[in-house]
Amino acid sequence: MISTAGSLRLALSDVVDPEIPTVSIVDMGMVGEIVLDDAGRVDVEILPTFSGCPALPIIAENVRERLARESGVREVRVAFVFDPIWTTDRITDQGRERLLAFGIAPAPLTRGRTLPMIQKQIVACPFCGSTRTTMENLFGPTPCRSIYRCAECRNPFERFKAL
Amino acid sequence: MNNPPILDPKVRAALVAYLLPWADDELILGHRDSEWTGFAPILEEDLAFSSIAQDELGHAALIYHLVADLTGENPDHLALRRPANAYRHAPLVERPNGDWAYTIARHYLYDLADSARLEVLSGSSYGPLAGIARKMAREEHYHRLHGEMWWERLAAGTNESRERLAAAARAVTPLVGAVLGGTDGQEILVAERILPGIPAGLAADWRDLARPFLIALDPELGRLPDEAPEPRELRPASADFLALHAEMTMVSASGLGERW
Repeated sequence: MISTAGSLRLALSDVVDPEIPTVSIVDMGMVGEIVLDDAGRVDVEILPTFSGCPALPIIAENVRERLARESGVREVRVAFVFDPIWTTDRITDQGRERLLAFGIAPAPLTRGRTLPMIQKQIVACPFCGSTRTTMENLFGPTPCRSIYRCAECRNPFERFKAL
Repeated sequence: MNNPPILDPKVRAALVAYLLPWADDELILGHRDSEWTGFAPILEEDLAFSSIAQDELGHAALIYHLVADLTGENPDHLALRRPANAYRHAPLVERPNGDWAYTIARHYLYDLADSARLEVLSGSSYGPLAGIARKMAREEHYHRLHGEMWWERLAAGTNESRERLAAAARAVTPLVGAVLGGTDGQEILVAERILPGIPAGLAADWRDLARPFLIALDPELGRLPDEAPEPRELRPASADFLALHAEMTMVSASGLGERW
């Protein structure tokens, strides 16, 4: 089979964020344009999530390694782009479900609204679904997550920050 | 795929002169933030300052990469292999953390100045700069929430917490404007709309953001002089910065293993 931009995008469904190993970078909305030329050279745009994310070089390496296994691919170049910028709205429905299954409440959709309005929304516990939850710390174990606690099932949990 | 626009050499030099001090500010403040890891007064703040430090270092990396794209230099070398007297950060960010009130006052007032800068740069005609500015502005939102929460908490806490915050604000406020000072060739950037604002305008934006917080502590503190910030110039490295630089560059300078 000859590779196309579409088949390469599909192949990238195998590449995950090492800190959230159940969600692919495609579902995270991190994959931008993919261009494949006649010489087998592939240019892939990756939209970084948080700018201080230490996982980025690992993700770039995994993208190169995964695409190099596709037919007709000779060279893979990964570029980090900030136009458009990544926002949590880019996470797909499937990505949001998988975050939830991993125990992380997904970020609310901002739909262009400003972040201060978003942060005040009610958050459902990813374990029991209760909305009797409180934020314990805006900052969590990684820059992309806050820490919450559920008053119902008493579990602490993480929530992806709206960005 | 969009390649970065090609700039005229004069414009490029002016842009590098503008970006480097900013990258240095973020790098050095990020290092100061990281000094709280393991030492903050409560566990939540260990996490918060570690996260904020990581964000600031991430922002520094974005800006150093932008410089590297313009000059062909190595961004890691720009960050960690320059001699101490080649850094161009504002004195505000190199000061030792001091007590908790000083840490909060310095960081929050810096964040407000940085917000004013990011707001303007988000509209830059130089696409790569506008992109990273918009990105950073969204992350800085969380720093501001954190700083505002602590400012209010210390201001409304005990007499001691309020006094300490007021003393810290008195000490750092005169240093904040320099963060927004002009750089060599800045007028070229303004003319090209790469920097769609002037230092005096940015400083006024900062004063508007900061004034209500300062007045809440002491009306006298809110009387901020209406003046353009001093231009950013190379200064001899201070004793505070020499010590910080030695620590910050120690691993990089060891020359051991270039892979991480």
